[in-house]
Amino acid sequence: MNMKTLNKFSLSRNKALVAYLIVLLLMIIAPLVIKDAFILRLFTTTYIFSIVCFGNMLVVGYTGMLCLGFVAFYGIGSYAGALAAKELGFGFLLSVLFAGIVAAIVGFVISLPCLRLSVDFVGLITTSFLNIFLAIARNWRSLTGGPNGVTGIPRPVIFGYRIASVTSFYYLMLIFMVLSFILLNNIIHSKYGRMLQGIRDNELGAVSVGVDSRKMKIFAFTVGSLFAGIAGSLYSFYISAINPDNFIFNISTQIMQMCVLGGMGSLPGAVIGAAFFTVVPELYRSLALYRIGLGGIIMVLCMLFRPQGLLGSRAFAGDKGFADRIKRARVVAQQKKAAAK
Amino acid sequence: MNEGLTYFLQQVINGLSCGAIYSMIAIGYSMVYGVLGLINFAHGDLYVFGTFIAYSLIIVLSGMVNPWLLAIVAGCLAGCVGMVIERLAYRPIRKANRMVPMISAFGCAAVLKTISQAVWGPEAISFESLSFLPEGSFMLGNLQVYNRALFIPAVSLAVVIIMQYILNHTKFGLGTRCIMQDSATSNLIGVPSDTIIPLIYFLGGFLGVMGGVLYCSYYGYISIDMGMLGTIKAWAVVMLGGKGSFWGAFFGGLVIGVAEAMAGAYIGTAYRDAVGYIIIVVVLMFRPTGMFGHKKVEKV
Repeated sequence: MNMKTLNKFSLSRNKALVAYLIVLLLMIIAPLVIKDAFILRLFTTTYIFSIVCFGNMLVVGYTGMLCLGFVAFYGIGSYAGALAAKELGFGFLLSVLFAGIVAAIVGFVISLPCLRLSVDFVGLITTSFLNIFLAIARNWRSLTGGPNGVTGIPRPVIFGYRIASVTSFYYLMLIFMVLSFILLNNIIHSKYGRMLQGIRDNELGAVSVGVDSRKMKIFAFTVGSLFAGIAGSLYSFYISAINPDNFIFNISTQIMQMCVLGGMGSLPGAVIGAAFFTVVPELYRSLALYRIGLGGIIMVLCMLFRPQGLLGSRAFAGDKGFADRIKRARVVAQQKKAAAK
Repeated sequence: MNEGLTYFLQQVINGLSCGAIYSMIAIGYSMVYGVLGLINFAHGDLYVFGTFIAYSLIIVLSGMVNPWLLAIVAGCLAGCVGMVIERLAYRPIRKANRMVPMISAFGCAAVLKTISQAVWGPEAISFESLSFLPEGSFMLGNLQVYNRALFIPAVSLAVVIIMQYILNHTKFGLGTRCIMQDSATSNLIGVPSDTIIPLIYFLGGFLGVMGGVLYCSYYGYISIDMGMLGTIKAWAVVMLGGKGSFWGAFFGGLVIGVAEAMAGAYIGTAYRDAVGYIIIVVVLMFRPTGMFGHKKVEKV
């Protein structure tokens, strides 16, 4: 690498850092400007979903496994956190940690049968696991409360400060989101992250240069479900009552859609995707009946014109979408014109 | 025959007819999935859409035309919708990462679901009065066998045999098998994949509607929520049977159907679905290619 490209490289790195800091600053001052509780709640939900999407991004976007039942880990974390706080009397931070660890252990166990199988089977096994989890959550009444779920989850208390207002929840989720982002960003830019991306792009190639793909897949699954569990417990503290319907397959596909729309293999993309799917449906709320369909049309158009998502890695683009094709056709036409002259 | 055995056999028969319906839906799914490897999340909503069309046709033309004829018309319409979806939403991104057409399929499923909801409403509609299935029953010793419990597996079996014949003995089938093996090379040697792939989607949608009509007549109602459930079940059945194999889809459906009936009878209906999925996980752990799947050796 010569000096010029090196400079360019560090410059683009700095640019990204500046962009992150500006966005973070905007997020911090947002509650001071926006007084509307409804909008702040939307942002708070966005941050929670961002953390789940980070986990899903690690498993799907960076390791290339297809995890369609990811909401199961989110649900397990949710139940674990809620029950730890309510029944065992754990403090807030301890319950969140407990929820994360429980989800990570389950994720570890689920990843074991997935190692032998191809991508699609992993998707099916996680879907099956989600259904088994839902059946247990609906029927083990003494523990999970059956269809009614767990209610009356206590408000979080951190160092004697009780969190109940909209603004304080906003900052709490923001802090968790930023911490998760920093942690995962470091993992992804470490050698482990590169190993994961190697497995995604070419598993045989990665194995042949000495990457232990089994170990790395287990690692990705465990860390991914750890974050899903943490997000789940934050969610249960935030809405203070959960039931199995919060964790159905549709939510799982929505998490997947957030990741794909934001861009596979991009952490900021996860935040953008989460924001998109939380905020945009509210914009056309009045069209209640056509809401799902409009979302579907947006999805198809997005995939057609920008298959790698808004900020996605090129690894997912294939021969790219319509926009690039039109561009290429134009170039060919110009060349033809030039040749005719 | 003692009572326990009769009960057991009764459940087996119920399970077989329920499973045969699963296999009908799964055969259509298997076409698309086996050939293109696309996890087609629009399949479920497409067959529900087609079944709704069949329902409306029968209501409008009540008693004038044989309901099965109308179901076939509805199946053809749904097949055409499938072809349109393929042209608009899948073909431009066929070469992108597999996740991309999958999300596009989610989008199409949402659109189809919204159309069905806008036209036919969100509530379940009774499907009882439509006479798709033969009435009556006969006694086999102590065992009461409904005619429909024989009819559904028979239809399903016939469809498998026909599809197997088409796949193995026609030019269309030859092209399909070429694309299944290696789509890039088959393009090079002149297989018209842009003609064959839409036809595969057509057949997928058509068979889906046939399965959907049976499914809705068996359970006696139709609702828009059947879509996503049907997709996942069809996918699971195909995986269990082995990708791209019609016999696999057929027997996979029967296994799941019987397992669910057994679980419903002896464990409790609450865990019915879970037992089906546990069986899938266990089978896949010991036989990762499914029951009838061929092992694909990866070469470098």
